[in-house]
Amino acid sequence: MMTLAGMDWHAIYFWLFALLTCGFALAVLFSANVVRMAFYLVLCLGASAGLFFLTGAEFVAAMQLMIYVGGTLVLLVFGVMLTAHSRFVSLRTPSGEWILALIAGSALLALLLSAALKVPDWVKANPDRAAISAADVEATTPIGMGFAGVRVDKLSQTDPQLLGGMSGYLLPFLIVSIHLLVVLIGAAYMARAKRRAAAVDEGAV
Amino acid sequence: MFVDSETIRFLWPELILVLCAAWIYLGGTFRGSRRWWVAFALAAYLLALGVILGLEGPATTSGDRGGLASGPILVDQLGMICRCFAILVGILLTLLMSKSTRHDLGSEYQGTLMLLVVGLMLVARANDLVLLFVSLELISVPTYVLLFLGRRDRGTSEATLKYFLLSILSSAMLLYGMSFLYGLTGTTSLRGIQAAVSTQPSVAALSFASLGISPDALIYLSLVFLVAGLGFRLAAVPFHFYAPDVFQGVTHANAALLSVVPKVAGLLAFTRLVILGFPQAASQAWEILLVLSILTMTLGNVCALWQQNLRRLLAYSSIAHAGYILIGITVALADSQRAGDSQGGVAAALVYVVVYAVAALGSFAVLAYLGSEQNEVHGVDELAGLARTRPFAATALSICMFSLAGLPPLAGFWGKLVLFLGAVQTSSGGLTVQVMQWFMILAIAGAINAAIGAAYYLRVIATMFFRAPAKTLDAEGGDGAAVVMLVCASLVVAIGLFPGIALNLARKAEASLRAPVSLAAQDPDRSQPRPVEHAWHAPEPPRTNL
Amino acid sequence: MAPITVAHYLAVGAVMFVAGVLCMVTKRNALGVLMGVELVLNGANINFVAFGSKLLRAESLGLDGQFIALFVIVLAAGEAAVALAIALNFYNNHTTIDVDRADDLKG
Repeated sequence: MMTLAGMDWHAIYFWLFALLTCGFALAVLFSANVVRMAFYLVLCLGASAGLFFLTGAEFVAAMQLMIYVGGTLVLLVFGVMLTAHSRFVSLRTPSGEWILALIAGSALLALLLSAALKVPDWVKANPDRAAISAADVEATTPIGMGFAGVRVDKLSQTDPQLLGGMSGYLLPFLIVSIHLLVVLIGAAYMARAKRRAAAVDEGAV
Repeated sequence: MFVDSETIRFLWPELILVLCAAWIYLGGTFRGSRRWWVAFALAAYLLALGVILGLEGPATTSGDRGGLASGPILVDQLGMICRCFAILVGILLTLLMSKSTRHDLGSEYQGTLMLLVVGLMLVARANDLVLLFVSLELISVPTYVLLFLGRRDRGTSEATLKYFLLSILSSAMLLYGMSFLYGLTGTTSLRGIQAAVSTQPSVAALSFASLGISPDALIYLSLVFLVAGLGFRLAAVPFHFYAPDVFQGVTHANAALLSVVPKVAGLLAFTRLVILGFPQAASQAWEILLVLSILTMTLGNVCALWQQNLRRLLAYSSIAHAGYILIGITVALADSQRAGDSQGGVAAALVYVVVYAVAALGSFAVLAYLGSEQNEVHGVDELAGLARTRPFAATALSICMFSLAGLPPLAGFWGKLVLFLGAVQTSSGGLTVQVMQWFMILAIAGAINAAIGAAYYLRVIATMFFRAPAKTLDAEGGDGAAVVMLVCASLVVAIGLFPGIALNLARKAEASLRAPVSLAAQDPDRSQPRPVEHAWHAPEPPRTNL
Repeated sequence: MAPITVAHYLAVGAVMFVAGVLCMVTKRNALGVLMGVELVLNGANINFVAFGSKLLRAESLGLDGQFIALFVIVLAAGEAAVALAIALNFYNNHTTIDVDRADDLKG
């Protein structure tokens, strides 16, 4: 199904996007220049949207591109621009800290990888992969229904214990909208220029 | 399956508060008077409290004590008691902040605080990973905003930046832990996770036995992330180091908020997520938490000994109290691995967090009351001779500090007593010798720490009573702070005189936590699995194992 | 080529998580620390989406993973707005964005 001329295109695209994602994530980590870091982060998150497409979560992938890459990162870049005084563009970390951080980080990574690779359910490929067509993983409508409080993706759930908690996402959806209200209020007041100190700051910068 | 009218009915108090907060934001642009909005907020809190007691009191106390699972929320005694407490905290903080906010920001402040209280109320009853995470964030995000609205100078901006970066890291850790939990159990429902991990040991054992790894290695890993995420909120070692700097940088009212709200939320999330969620991992988790508990209280108490800044002192005391709360959590975790009746670890931790919250709010209220907007109280020395110049404030502060130190017959004494008794009982009850020794060490460490802790509280009290006054403090904190001070001091005395009431409530809450959950009344067509009628979805087999 | 499984995606998520945590520990620029947070959140998101994927597992977990991922994306956007405001205010007050210089508060 997924193969064309004997090639597993899913695997090829996975390796492409996975390498891009991991590579740019590490580039963000190792770059000392904050402007470059922002750029690498954009590429890293964009490539991870590709991974979302590959898992069949096309709606999440689209949102990742639109909200994350298109919105959140633009905010970050904006912040970088506003504070990009030449003194702060490149702040180097002492190499002692680097060594410690790298040792701890690789230990953590090894732990996570070994844990993830030991669950048989997770290292086993889906046997009836070939039978699944693109229409079967279509999820945009069920996601929309789920946010409205109706779960159409789990109609066959019979276990009452799981059914009880298997709720629609109307309530969390409402709470997230409250979040955005608070964020709006907060950001508006925080970023508002402080009148008293504005003159001083301009003099200092 | 649906957020239906039944669930909405249980959410009325939260909805009322959200609507009132929106109204405060909106109306604040037209009517600036600070007093009016404080009064409005207080009325909203009282209305919500009335709705909780009136609508849900009967629903949760009658029938079985296990509570109802309705949609993503769980309606039980624990949730109800903690929501009432959340509203009490909201009222006290509203009063405390009534004067300390700048004139033009009064309504924004009150509205944001109200949404934060809603977040705390939702954490108290979350039965779903998503709801739990989103509600915890509904506490964090307004906290960032509140920290800022209080004051805008160098210290505050530094404190906010530090708090923000660490808080968001802890949230991310929590989320990463949750992702493994979801992957292992296949459900986001906390009760579902519990069912998947514990009540079907055969299934869990089967699927894990084939791994060739210790049964709960991955659950253990995700537990570490969850403890990291929640430990920050409790201010437990090693996630404590932000507390002193942040407390020093923000206003007294905000420091009160930081010392109380994240702790209550962290304890509730611990209770719902860790203690109930996967008792299987508890057999190993209690060891970590026991060590963390001893480290946390020792570090907090020892560092507090030589603090001259009052808010730093109270910050270290807040860390130390996080250690005491962890004793309760440790006892509860060790409990859940054996069949016998519980030693009341959760109940003790709940009582303790309430007692601590009241005393801490009272202490910060006194400090807020004593200063003025330009001239805040910072150092311990500034309190010299306070008993002569401001006898009421000095008495209230001494009562709160005696309670924090755990002197009988005040509330703090009973809180510590039930915690230590729980540890001692666990050490004497039927577990292995090693476990008994560990809990004996825990109880002894707690007792030694209580003694160390008493030293620095008594130093402050001695400064107030036995030193000559250097200057008279302004005491322009406003009537609100004075009321909070009086209410907290009298609550501390009242709980101290009648500890039975608080203990009984907490025991009921713990019992409801452990009792089996019944499903909320369902619409008839929901009780059976309905036929698949939607074209866009193919039926999937019911999940049978992990 | 070996077929792609959930574990492959988890590995990518783990790399992003570790890179993000190290970013937060080592970067001195407040905005750099924030980029670390975004990496960590995205690592968790990859886990959630991979666990719920129908293509990768015989027994699908349903759409919960995708729902959580969407919530995280929106929350991250909101938090970035607050973060920007906090960082700008810090910059205005201290005329630096270096978090190591944030040492006014000491006991």
